[in-house]
Amino acid sequence: MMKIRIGGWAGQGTVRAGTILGKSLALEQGYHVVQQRSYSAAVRSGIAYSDVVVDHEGLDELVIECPDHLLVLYQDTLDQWEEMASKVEHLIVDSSRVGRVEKTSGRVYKVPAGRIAENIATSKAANVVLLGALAGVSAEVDLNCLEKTVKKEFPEKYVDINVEALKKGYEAVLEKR
Amino acid sequence: MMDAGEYFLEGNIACAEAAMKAGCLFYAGYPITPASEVMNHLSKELPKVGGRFVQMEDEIASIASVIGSSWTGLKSMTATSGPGFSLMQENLGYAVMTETPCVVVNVQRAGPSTGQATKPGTGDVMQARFGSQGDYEIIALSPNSVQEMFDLTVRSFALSERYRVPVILLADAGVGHMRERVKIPEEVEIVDRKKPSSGEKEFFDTSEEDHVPPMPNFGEGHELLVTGSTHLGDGSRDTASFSAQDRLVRRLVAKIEDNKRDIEDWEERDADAELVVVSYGSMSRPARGAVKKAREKGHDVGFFRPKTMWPSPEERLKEIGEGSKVLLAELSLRGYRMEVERCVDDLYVYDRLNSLPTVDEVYEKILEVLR
Repeated sequence: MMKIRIGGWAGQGTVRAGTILGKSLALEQGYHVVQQRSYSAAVRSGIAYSDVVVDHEGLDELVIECPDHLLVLYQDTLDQWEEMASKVEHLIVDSSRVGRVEKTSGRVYKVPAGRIAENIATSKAANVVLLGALAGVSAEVDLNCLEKTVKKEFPEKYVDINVEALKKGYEAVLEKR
Repeated sequence: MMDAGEYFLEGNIACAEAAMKAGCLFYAGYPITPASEVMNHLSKELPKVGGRFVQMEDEIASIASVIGSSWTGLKSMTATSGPGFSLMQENLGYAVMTETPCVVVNVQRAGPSTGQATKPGTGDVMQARFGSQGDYEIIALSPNSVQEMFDLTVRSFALSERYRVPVILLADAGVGHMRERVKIPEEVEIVDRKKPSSGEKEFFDTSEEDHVPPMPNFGEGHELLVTGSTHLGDGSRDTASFSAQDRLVRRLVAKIEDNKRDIEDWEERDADAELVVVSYGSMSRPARGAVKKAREKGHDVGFFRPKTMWPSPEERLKEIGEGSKVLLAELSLRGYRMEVERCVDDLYVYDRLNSLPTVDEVYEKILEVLR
């Protein structure tokens, strides 16, 4: 079983990223996947995150207490998850927005996802940059499958931007490995 | 409408797709978290299959509109949550009394009142059964996966048409907002309401064994009176006589009670174990996972999950309760508890609010009961 959480501030595309990841793992890679989202009752405020649980067989574990891979797009979110973050295997942060990372037992990857995305077209694609980074970190998450899913998931005019975002995120992590 | 195949969908979208697959051609509703995706999806997709979508001014008007459209012969649906479901109660009773087939999806959230709009809860179980005034029986189904959001939506339409009764799909935010792989089949079971022959005049009484009278549409040439007041077989009001009230209300109740075997459905595994965990909705997923874990560790634990909340599988619950301890796991304090309590002697409860537990959290409770 593998557990992934993608968290940030509402509006940063954490649920979108979780959906792309879940879809890719379920439909392109054939895993059993449950994806959940959590957000507060506000239009654009508060912590928002998406949990993806992955297994080879039918899943009844819907909740993540401590993920294996934690992707974080916002400083306040990480601050609130300090204890959980200290225990994860891999912590991947968007270092354009997350400057401060406390001591953790796992490996930390600081990927300037916002800046990378901005250089491609728009900082809105930072969530997809982090997905690319995840593919570089996790042996189970396949970059090509993510690319296939992104091509299906986005309207045509945004496909190239997001494919590029995936690749740049992947490369950013490879350099650090 | 999506083609047959495998998808990775959110529960609410699976529900909307199932409605179209089941032949739903009318949706009226008012948006509310965590049910809005059903409406949002149908607003785009229903017109493409020749259906009509209306955003109403509130939930009272929404269900009224659904009832009206059903009387034109269309399979009709609305979806809502907590506060909206409360507003629908009076007209839900009207649908029961006028024997109007329709599907009401309630994606339950944490209440009471506005509560926590985005968080799951199952505190509306009793409201689904008793929320409107007077004596009646109703059908409510409880899905626990995205696949069941699809399958049980289809079944909701089939049962509502078969028995001329509103059917409540009693989902919760856990399954409504969950994404999983789902198979959309080529064909689903479609049931159409019984239609009268040309000379027939009794649309509100029958001597048939199933207690379901035939239902004409408005505009088909029948003399048709539809009223929420007590009425005779031809629809004419009788608000005073003993026989009218006695005959009508007893039949409305018998229609569900006497057809219970056909309606009720559940999932069970090792239900003769020392301890049986009873759970439903999204909560039943970690509960089932915990039972599996307990069995792997050598404990004598079984699992029972009603898919039909109402009518409740009370005979089966009583059988289980005679031989086993029962642990009810639910996402509320008062959801299904009174129903299980009356069927089971040795009852333990794992009640929880706001969010789903992990498998291990339910497992710990199982161990505690076994000790």
